[in-house]
Amino acid sequence: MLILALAALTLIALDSFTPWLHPAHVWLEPLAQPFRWASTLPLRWREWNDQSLESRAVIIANNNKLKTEILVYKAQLQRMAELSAENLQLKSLLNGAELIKNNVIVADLVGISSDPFRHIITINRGTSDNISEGLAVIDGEGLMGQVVEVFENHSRVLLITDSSHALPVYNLRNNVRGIIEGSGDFQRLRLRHVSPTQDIQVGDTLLSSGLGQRFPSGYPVGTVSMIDRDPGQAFIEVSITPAAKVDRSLHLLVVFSSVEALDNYPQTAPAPAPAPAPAPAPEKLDPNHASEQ
Amino acid sequence: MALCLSLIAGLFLYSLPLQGDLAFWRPPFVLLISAYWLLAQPQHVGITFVWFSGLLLDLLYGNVIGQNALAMSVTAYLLKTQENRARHLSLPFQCLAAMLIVMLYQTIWMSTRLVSEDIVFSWPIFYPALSSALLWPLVAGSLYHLQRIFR
Repeated sequence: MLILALAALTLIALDSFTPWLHPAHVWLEPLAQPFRWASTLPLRWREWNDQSLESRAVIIANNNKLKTEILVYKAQLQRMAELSAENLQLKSLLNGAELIKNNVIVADLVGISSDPFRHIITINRGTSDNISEGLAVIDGEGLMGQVVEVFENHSRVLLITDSSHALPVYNLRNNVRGIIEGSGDFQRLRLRHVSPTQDIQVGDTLLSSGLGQRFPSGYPVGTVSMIDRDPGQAFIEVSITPAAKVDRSLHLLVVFSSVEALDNYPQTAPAPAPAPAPAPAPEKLDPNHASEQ
Repeated sequence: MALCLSLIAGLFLYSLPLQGDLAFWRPPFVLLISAYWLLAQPQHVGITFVWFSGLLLDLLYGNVIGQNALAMSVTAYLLKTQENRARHLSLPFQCLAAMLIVMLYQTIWMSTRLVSEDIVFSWPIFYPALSSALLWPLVAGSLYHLQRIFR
């Protein structure tokens, strides 16, 4: 008994503090496939249910709705082309050196962590699709998480709701920056260190700020759902509802950020020092301190 | 045969997908199943077997290797010391015993996880103990029938 306990303790220490046992994880991954697949069954059943058990009238109505939606998006996209060209021109005028272009790859959810204390999912893309650690994962609505472990044909994604996860964001309304951390609850995130004088309201949209160099900027992270101002506390409690359907999306996108130099655009002489941003930021956030793990 | 089947079923049930907060209530089926066999077939199943099934669980689910092996084997050892008493318990007391066993297991498991993760010790870690006590008659009953079928 003692030997077994000691052996287990040794294994725990080895696996926690050294990478020596990593090959064992990699070899056993194919064996774990059916178990992971089983963990997504209810989600799959719900999707199948949605797809197969609808009446003809509902499908037709849905189809019409989607068609109008596409039309609206196409119309918006036309404006988008003009706007992005304009944006590019302005950036080149300001001597912006690079333009960030995001490519995405579609991935499917193939597993959910069985452990309620860890919000980790598995997607069916790995090193063979050029996935690397640290890439952002989004769904149709917003930011979901980041890749933390990559295998040959799949990878593990740490969700933004995990209690060990935090990411830098900014408020769309007034550009105030902040750090969002997960709470261990799929429906709730927390905004950290918000001073009582900060301008924040219920309903504000928070976007990823791209500080910390890990997440691409501009993806919706969540909306403020509740603000608790306790006069006895140094900071106010701000609850955020995640924009992404963190616990029910089956189809996800992995975002590759690639930086394109603006070489083919006319460069002007260095502009005078840019005016300081008017946005009041009560808490000065050093990007180096913007923790993302 | 019954052993292998039930263990595989247990490994599948370990990842039993539950919505939202219900996930905290998922009983540790592999532990319950190995505890049953530990008492029902002492000639085949010992603490080493429990240790290896814990190791398998860790490997399959990508936990830190050895966490479940440790927690399950220590729990099984303590159960083994009370073997003769545990085997003659009536059903309600069996449920109570299952609750204690799972509480012990959760405590050890969560403690080992503190090494590498930041876990908040709060009541949810003992929810599986309650759900195990409630589900124990079902688990024990189906394992008993499985044993009868493959005899």
